[in-house]
Amino acid sequence: MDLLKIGLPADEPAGPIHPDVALAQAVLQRDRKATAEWVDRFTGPVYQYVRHRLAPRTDQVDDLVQDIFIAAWQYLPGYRGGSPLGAWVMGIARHKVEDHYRRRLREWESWDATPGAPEPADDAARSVEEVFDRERRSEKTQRVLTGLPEHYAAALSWRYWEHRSAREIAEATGRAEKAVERLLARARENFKRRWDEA
Amino acid sequence: MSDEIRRPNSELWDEFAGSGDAPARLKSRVFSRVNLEQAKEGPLASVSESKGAGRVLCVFENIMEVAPTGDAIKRMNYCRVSHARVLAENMEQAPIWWPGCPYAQFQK
Repeated sequence: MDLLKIGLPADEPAGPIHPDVALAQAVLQRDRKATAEWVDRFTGPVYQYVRHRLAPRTDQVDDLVQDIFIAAWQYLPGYRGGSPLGAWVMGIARHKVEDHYRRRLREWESWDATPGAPEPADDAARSVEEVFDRERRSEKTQRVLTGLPEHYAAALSWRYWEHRSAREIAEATGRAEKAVERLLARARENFKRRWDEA
Repeated sequence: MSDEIRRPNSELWDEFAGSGDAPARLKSRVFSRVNLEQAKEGPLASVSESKGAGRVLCVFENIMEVAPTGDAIKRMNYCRVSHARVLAENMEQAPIWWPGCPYAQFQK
């Protein structure tokens, strides 16, 4: 691969290289100083995002952030400068966070233990969705999420913050859509009860 | 396909870009790990190349840059054997002040 051609399609005249593309090139050339700049600039927002999304499992944040940067390094040859480098790294972070949710829900062993769980009540679903949207960065939301069982928090975060439907979650976890809806219903009930008490 | 419109990555980036930094320890660990991965794939850029690209070298790298050594020596991962790495990976606010040291840069 010709590293110097990153961000510059062959049929376009060479012009000034965007600073993000130049930084990506330098990192790909294994320049330690450029790599330090890359890590310094982009770790903060990625860390804040992952910490927010992984509540209550904040003990896993550091490992996941490291995995994100290793993956970003591996995929960096594909960066063409079509978007800011920060947004590109954030895209990788989102994939890794969704992998985390998938693992958490796959590890949950009680999928089939609650077949009679109630269907979600429309008003409860709406109010929880509103809280997740309106109060997503509030300390109260984080506190309530931290108090939830891990699989509930993962399901709600995946559904409302990453905007994945029950069908998509079902496909990703290899479960029936109905089972995911039941899980979400219980998670919402639990969240709403704790929210009202908090 | 998603039933809903997902937020663009750039919007998510903007939301979290102003919400605080990462611990210096974590940045140090990330940097060290990426360095190791880079070294697995081939020789690192030499200190002369880094300097030529306008990057600031640390005192030790400056010595190696002018030393009459072969190219392979100038491409070594000096950070790996630096005490700054050990301190920075394990301490928040590590006592490192060397100009041009990435681990010192992460403390700011």
